[in-house]
Amino acid sequence: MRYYFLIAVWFSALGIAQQKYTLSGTVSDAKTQETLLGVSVLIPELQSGVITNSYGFYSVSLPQGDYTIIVQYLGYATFQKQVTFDQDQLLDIKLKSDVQSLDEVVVTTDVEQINIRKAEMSVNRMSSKTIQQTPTVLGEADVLKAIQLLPGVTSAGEGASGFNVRGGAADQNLILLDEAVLYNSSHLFGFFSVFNPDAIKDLQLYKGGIPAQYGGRLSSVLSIYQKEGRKDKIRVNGGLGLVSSKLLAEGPLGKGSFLVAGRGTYAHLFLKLSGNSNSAYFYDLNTKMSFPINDNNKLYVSGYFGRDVFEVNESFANTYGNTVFNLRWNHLFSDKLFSNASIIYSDYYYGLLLEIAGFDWDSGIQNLNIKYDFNYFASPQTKFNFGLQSTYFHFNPGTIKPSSEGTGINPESLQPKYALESGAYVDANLSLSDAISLQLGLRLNHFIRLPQNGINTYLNDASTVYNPNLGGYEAGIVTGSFDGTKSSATYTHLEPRITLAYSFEKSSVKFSYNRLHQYLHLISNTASPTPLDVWTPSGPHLKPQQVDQWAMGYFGEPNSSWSFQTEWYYKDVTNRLDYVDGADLIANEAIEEITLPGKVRAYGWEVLVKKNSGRLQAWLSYTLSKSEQQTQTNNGPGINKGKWYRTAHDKTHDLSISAAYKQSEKWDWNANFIFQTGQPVTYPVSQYEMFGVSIPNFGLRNGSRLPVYHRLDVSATLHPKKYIGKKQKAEWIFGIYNLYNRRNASSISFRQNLDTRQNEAVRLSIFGAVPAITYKFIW
Amino acid sequence: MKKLIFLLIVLCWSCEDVVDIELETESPRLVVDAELSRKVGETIGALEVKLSRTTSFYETEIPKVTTAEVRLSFEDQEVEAVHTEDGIYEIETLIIDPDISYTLHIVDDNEHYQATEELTFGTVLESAVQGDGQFFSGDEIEVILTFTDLPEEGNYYFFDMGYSNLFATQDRFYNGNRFSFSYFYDDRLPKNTPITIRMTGMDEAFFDYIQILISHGGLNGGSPFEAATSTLLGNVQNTTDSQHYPLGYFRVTEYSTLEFVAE
Repeated sequence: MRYYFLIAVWFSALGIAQQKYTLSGTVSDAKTQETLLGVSVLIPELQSGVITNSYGFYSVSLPQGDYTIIVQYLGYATFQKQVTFDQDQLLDIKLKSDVQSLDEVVVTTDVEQINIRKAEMSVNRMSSKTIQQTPTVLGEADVLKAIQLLPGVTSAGEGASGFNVRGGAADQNLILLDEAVLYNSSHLFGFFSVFNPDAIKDLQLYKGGIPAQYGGRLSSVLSIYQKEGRKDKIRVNGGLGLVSSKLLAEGPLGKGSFLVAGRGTYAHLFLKLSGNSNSAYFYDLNTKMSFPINDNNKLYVSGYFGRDVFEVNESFANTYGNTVFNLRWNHLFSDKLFSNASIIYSDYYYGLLLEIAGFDWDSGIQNLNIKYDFNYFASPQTKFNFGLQSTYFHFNPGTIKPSSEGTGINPESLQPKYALESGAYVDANLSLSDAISLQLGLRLNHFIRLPQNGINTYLNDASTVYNPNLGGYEAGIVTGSFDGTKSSATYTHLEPRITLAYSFEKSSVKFSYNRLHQYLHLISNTASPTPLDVWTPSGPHLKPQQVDQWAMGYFGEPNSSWSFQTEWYYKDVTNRLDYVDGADLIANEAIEEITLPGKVRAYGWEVLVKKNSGRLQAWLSYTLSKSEQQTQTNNGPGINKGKWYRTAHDKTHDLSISAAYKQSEKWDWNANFIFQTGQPVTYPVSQYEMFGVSIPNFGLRNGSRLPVYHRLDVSATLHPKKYIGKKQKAEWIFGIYNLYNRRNASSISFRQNLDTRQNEAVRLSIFGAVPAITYKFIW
Repeated sequence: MKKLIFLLIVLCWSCEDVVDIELETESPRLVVDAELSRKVGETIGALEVKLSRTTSFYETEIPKVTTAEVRLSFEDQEVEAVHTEDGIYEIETLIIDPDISYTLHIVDDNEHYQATEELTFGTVLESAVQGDGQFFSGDEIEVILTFTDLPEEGNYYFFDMGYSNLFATQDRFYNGNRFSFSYFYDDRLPKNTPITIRMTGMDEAFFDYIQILISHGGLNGGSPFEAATSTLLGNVQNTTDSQHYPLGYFRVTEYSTLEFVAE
C-alpha cells in the first residue's frame, strides 16, 4: 500500500498524473521593491511550499482547484491569498514591512529559524538586520564577526583574517559576493570584513550538506547577495564613526534600480599619533544595478572594489584588495524554468613597494568565470537545479621591478600559472511524502593545469625527500621540467551529495553526506592566512584536496518563539598540505619541495538554541569539536614523527551567546559573549645560541595552546524621539567591545629582551576595551 | 573630546606585554656554530667552532661544551682543533682550497657528529655609511651598505651587523650589479663606538637556514615575513644516534669586514 502511495507521489511529482496549472512571480518589498530571497511561499492545503530563489522568483504548479497561498518572511506582514488554479498565472507578491509596534505580537516566522521539513541542514541564514544588530569592534557591524557567533564557526584569532568552519582551514571557505569568488575576506589584517553591511541583502553559510551547485572548496560556502537598490525613490543613508564612515545611495534608474555604497577609514589614523607619517587605512565601493528588460528577462550588473593600504614613512607601502565585476542575465524559459547566465571577473591584487630595498612587487590572481544555472520548479514537491560552470585562473606569483632608476634591482617575473576548472551539476529537491524529503545532488568536476614553463620533474617523482642522516625533509632531486607546451595535470572527480529529512509534528531528524574537492591550495606559515599568502593550483605534484563529510541532526520548534537544533559531523580530508619542519614559504616557487600531503579528520557536536520573538531575542551556540592532522610519507616518518597533531584551528570548546533587548522605542540593547579554547601553537622546548643570539628551539607541531579566549561586547542604540515615525531617520550607536578589558592573546612570541638579555614570552593583544560611537542617518 | 577618544583607541590598538608561560624542556642537544673561513682575496684562513648545549628557554646561562674532541678532515689529512676558551675550538691557520670538501668531526659524550661542506665565495663590502632615513619608529639608525654582487646567479650573503643584528640577502633581483641597501639599527645602538660589520658569502642551504634562524630569534624587526615555528635542523648529523640530532651549522666561506661608527 505504502509502495503504491510512493509511486503516486512520484508520478504527481513528475507532473504526469493530472492537468496542472502554474502560479509564478517574484516576491519583493512593497515599498522599496527590493526582491526578497529565501521567502517561504506555502500552500497549507498541501502542507507544502517553495522558497524563492536567489532572485526572488518562485513557481508553484498544482492540479486544478482552489488553494491558499501564504507568504512569510522575517520582519514582514504575512501575505495570504486565495488563488484558483484554472490557468497559468503571474502573481508578483509585495510584502509590507511590519510596522514594529512593541505591543503588537509579531506572528511572522523567522526566516533564520530552522526550516523543519526541508531537506537542508548545516545551513545558517542571516538577514542584514541581524548582522546590523551585532555589536562589534569600533562600532562597525561586521559580517564575519556575526557568523562567528554561529555554532561550528570559529575565528582564526584576534586580528587575523578569515574564519574556520567545522575544523577546516580558512582557505577552505568559498566566499561569494553576488556569486563572484573573493580571495580575501578581511580589511586591515582582519579587523574588518570586506562586506559593507549596509549593502548586503542576505547571507547564507553552508557548513555541510553543500548543494551540488557549489564546488571548489572543502569546508563551507558563504554566499552573500547585495541589495539591488530600491525602486520607489532615491534614498541616501550613512554613518559617521570614530574610525570609519560610510555612505550609501540607492534609487530607481529607468525601470530598474541602482545602489552605490562607499566606506572608508580615516587615513593615517592608527599610527599618526606616534609623530611620523605611518598610516593604515582601507576603502571599498559596492555597486549594483538592475535592468528589467521585460517580464521574462532581467539584467544585473554588480561590482566591488576594495583596497587596503599600509604605509610606513614612504619607505614601505603595501596595497592589497579585491576587484569584482559581474553581469547576470535572468531569463524565464517558462513559468517553471528559471535561468541565470553569469559572467564574472574577479581579481585579487597584492602589491609591495619597498623603497629601502629599491623594489616594487606585484602579485595576484585573476579569474574569469562563466556559468549558466537553471531552477526547474516541477511541482511544490519537486524542484531541480542544474547548470554548468567554468573558471579560468591566472596566478601571478610575483613580478618585481626597480622602484626607481639606479637601485640595482633587475626586473623579474616569477613563472605565472594557469588553470581551468569546470563543473556540471544537478540537484533534485524531492518531497517524497508529508514526512520525508530528500535532496539528491551530483556534481562532476574537471580541472586542468594549463601549459606553462618551469614545473620541475623529480627523481622517483619525489618532490620532498627524507634525509635520514639529518633527520629532516629536504627538496627532491630535480631531473628536468615538464613540457611547457602541454598541460601538466588533469583531474576529474564525481561528487555525490545527499540530504534526507524525516519530519515529525514539530521536529525533524536529518542526515547528510557530501564529497567535495578543492583544486587550489593556500599554504600559510602562520595559523591564519595573511594577504601575502600565495594561492597555488593543483598540478602534477600537488594533488587536489578531498573531503567526505557526514552529518546528522535534530531540529525542533516546540513553539513559535523557540527553536532548537543540534548536529553531529565527521569529516575526512585527504591531500591537505602542511609544510615540513624548517620550511621557508616566502616567495618559494616550488611549494611542493617544502610541503607534504596529509590527512585531516574533524568531528564535533553543535547546539543552537534560539528565542525568536518578544522584547528579548537571543541565541546560544555551543560547539565541542576536534580537528587533527596526520602527515606520513613512505620514505620518512612524516611531520611530527608521523603522529596525529592538532590543526591550527582545533578549538575544543566554542560558546557564543548573543542577545538583543528592545527596551523602548527609543532604546535597543545588544550584547555578545564569546568563549573559545585557545588556538593551538608551537612553543619552544629549549633555547640555543648562534652568532651570540639566543634562539628558541621549537617542539612538536601545535603541541601547546594560547590562553583561553573570551570577551563580552555590548552596544546601545538610541533612536531620538523627534525621528520616530518620520521618513528621515537618525540613530546613535554606543558600544564597547571587550567590556571587561580582557587581554586576549593574538600571539605569543618568544624572544630575548635585548636590554636585559633575559628570555621572555611576549603576548600580543590587539584590543583592550574599545569604546565606539557611530551616528547613522537616512535621508 | 574627539581627540581623547582617538587617543584611547590608539592606546588600545596593539599592546605587547611579558607574560608567564610555562614551558617544558627537552633533554639537551649539542649546538654547533662552526665556520671555516678566509678573507675575500686570500688563500689562508682559520677554523672556529663554538660548542654549547640547548637549555631551558628561560635560563640565562648557555652551557658551553669544553671537553669535546674537534677535528677537520679534508682529502687524506686530518687536523685537530684546540680548545682555547669557553667552548671555542680553533685551528689558527689553514689553506682553504675551493676545490676540496672539508669535513668537521666532533666527538662529544661518546657520540660522533659530522658535517661536510665546500667553500662558498664572498665579495668585498665596499662601504658602510650612515644615512638619515627612518623606518618605523623614526628613531632608527640607518646604515647604507654597498657591494658588487658576484657575476654568476645564485649568490647569497650573510651580514653579522653586531649587537644581535643579523641579516641575509640573495642576488635573485640584483644579479651581477653594484647594489646598495639600507639596514636599520634600533636606537639602542651605542653611538661613537666602532662596530664591525662582517659580510660572508653563503650557499642556498645556509641562506634558507639563516632566514628561519633570524625569524625564530625575533631579529627581523617584526616583519610580516615570519617563518613557521618548527624545528630548525642545520647541516650537522649525529652518526651515532640520529634521533639525538644536533642544532647549528658548519659553513666554509669567505668574509669581508668594515668598521662603522654611528653618530
